[in-house]
Amino acid sequence: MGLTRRGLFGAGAAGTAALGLGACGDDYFEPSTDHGDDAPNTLLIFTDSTRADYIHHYNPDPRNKTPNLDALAKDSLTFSWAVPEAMPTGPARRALLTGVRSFPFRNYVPTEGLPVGPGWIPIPDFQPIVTEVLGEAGVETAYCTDNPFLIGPRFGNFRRTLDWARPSYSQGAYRFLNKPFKRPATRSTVERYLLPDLSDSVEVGRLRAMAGWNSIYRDSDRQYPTARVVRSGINLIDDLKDRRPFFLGVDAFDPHEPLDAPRVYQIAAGSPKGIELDGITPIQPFETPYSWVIDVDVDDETIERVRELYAAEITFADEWIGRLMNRLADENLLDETVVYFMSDHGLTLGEHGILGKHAARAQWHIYHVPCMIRHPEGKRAGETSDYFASTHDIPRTILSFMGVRAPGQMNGEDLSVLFDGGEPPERRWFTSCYDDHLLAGDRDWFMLADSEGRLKRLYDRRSDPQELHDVAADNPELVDQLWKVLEDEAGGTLPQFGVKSGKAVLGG
Amino acid sequence: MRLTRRGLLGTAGAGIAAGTLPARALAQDAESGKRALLVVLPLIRADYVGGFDGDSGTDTPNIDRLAASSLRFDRVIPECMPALPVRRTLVTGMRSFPFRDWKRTDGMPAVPGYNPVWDWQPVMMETMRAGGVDTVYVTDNPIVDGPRFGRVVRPGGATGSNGSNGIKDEIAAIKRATAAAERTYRAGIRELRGMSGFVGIDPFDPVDAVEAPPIYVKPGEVEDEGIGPMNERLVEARWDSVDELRSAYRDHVEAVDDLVGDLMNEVDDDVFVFMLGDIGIALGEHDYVGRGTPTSHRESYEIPFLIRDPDGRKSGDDVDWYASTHDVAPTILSYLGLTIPGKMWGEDLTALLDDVDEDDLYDRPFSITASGSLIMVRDKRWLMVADREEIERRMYDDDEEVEDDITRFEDVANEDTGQLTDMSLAALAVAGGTLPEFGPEGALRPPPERADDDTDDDGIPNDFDAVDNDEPDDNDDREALGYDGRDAEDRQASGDRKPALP
Repeated sequence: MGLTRRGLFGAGAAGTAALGLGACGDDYFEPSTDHGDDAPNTLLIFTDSTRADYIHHYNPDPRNKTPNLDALAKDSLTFSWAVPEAMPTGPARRALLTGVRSFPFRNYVPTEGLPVGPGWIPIPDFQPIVTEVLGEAGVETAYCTDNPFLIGPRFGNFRRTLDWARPSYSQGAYRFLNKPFKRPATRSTVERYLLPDLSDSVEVGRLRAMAGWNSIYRDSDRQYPTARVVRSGINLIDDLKDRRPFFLGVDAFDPHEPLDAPRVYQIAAGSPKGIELDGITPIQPFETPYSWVIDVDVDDETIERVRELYAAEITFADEWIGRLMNRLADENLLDETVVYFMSDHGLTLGEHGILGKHAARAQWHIYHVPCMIRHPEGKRAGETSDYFASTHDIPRTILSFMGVRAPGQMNGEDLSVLFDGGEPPERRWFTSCYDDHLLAGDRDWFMLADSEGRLKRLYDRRSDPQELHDVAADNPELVDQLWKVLEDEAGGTLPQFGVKSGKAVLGG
Repeated sequence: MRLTRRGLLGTAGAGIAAGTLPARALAQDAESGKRALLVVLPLIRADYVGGFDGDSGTDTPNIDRLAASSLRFDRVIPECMPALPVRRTLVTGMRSFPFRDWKRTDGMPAVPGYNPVWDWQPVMMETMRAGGVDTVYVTDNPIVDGPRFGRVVRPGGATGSNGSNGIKDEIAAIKRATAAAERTYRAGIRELRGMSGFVGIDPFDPVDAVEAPPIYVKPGEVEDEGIGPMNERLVEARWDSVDELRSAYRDHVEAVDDLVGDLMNEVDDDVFVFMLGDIGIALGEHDYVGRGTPTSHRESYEIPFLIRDPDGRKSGDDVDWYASTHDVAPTILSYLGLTIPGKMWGEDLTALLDDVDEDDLYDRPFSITASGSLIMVRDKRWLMVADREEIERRMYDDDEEVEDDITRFEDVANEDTGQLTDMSLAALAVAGGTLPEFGPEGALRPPPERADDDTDDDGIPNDFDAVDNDEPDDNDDREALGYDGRDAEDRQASGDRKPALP
């Protein structure tokens, strides 16, 4: 018997009780376990690259408006210290869907069809998937996303667990994962987005693909990626409202770069400045995943404009999240649905001399993400928890709310206890990893180290909230303690990554 | 009715009226009045217990009677061995396999798995007490010590040293196990009177914490039958007959069964009982003798494992699902209505009591265990014994269709490499992607592969290296790295020293 535990077809097929006829004895439509009586529905809203400090609820002085997320926060228990257990997009999604920590990427093997770097693997066959567990318990499961990895070839095992899969192929920037459309725009079309220093970079091709896609498929705000995902979500609510309890995931790839919110949002976020005055809108101001500011030669005004463009993306996402929540309210589902909102990582916008996201610069701009859970009865509405909630806690919490047993492998904590006056088991430090870098910290201290442990940088958040000044030399004991925290969290040893052949794991 | 999130007896709520309470139910405080008992049977092999279809001729009426009214697990091997690591798993609910957290500990043998419960691991009793459950744990196990373990009762008792002189010492060890059971069960019976909450009764001879049991093989058999580079536990010993050993072992099993009878007389019918063996013992089968021994003989691994539900659910049923020792803590916590800490990796077996079919439990295609620096992977038919690096792997075939016993002795690893690969990958998967290697002080991390990580050889990894731009910038991190505004060639051209790492 091999390791493949999931059937090739249908949700919840694996190991279903022999209730049906046929040679294999599986009945795909018969739940094999059960969910709780009157289990609430789940609405999981996930956005990529969303920094907490661009949301008004997290930052009293943000540069943009997020009225809908603020309203959601007011109804929710908000986590002021949510840190994804592993980053970026791929590993964070894996933890979000499996409930199994991706940290410390011990099982990494370079995989075709995914970026090269520790953490970028598909969901392994032996890991549970929350939608599969829910499906086996008779919950209707749906997911809509334009995330190019989730709709790409390596996450097919996840999509097969769904009753309703609504991929949205609108992230033209990742055309290589986005087969239906193959007609890039001309070079001249993208000149108005291209920074001079990126004019012979891979971003040219990405922008051409994006512009080509947009010219055909984007004629109004409603056709922007986030809008398309949320409209799928709204349609799904219509489909699911008579099939309760349901799980609905709405997972938008924006505000990922390119920072191309509709023009009205870009204007509302601020007036053109910097390089935009020369006719270039810096929607892709770096070569994904990152560029040094001095390499792309942008001035402070342009960086300011980049931040505004990013803020415009978040405001646009906020607008559509609001529409989604309104539909939930219109259908009278708010009081029987648990709503989760979270993101997988942030984005560095000129801080640390970086635009984009760089593992060696994964300071709070990257690791501090929003997270909120709205209880159907309004329990703990408007309150804040400083628990280090993380992506892998979400599946267990969802299962617990729905009264479904979580597989033991799901090693996140059940956050639903917070709504019953309890506290999850103590998590003294947050730990995370990004490519071959490791993160650990608490509210006062933050350590960022390469996985070999050659360069461990420590920041005193109390005196240096921007995490700019390395004080590791002054606090060697704390550095050692945090390194041990990482080792313990990894089960005793940290994996060692090679530097050749895609940084494959050497052992440990 | 207050539902626990685990106790899902109800049917799917078909019509949900708006405004009804979503009955997700997760009790922070344990459900009042529920009581759970954990009993460990020291050194008992399942095939010596009649209630587990044993045919060894041992008379075990008391365990048999309990098994008949319990849910019985027929194919359980502990997820790690020998006695001390098993108990770390029992109280933490975490897999100890593959001993990645091993660090050589004073007063304990230098064998992977021999270390205390670390403070970053969850402890079953701690979770119970946080949920308002009284706990008592009766054991002489020295690692169950400290405030996290709640009230611990020490039966106490003299112990001798383990010898490693062959059969005689092994018989003495078996007798010590009997003695440990006797004094621990007696002390446990006292705790059962007026019991509330959780009681654990776990016979353990403290000598098992300071000495790893030897693995005896006949001289010359190591090369022929050897299973990879053995660790220090391997001892060559000559024996002609194992009759005396087996007879002493049968006496032990029957003595423990008598004690179980006495114990169960004190247990009320409304108590949830989880009873399991700790490790098996090889009694000369396939030329191995030893406790918790990696052997090619599959029965030497199997332990009795049963759950008696006070409501009689699944009474008399048996399942083949590969339950193991790390499932104990999550199951008991779930029965008590407590939230299982995320770090516990075991499955909640109360699902079976709630009518979930064993095929619908989370899939566990193999039993996977480790002893010292060896790993064993097993399913109904195959048994693989491999060293840590999976360089030397041996596989044995127990095909029930084949009548003779020869394939159970013979290494058939080269005859079904697909099966071998599946089993190796399963072990790797459970270990998280790699199997650890061990040095004398603990699990090792391999040295870094530096290669061209620092192409300009300025002592700064490429990732941190300055970009070639000679204008000062606002990047504090680079300044912290000693970046002086010039690129590497400039520095080398002017003969500067390399900037030191901070």
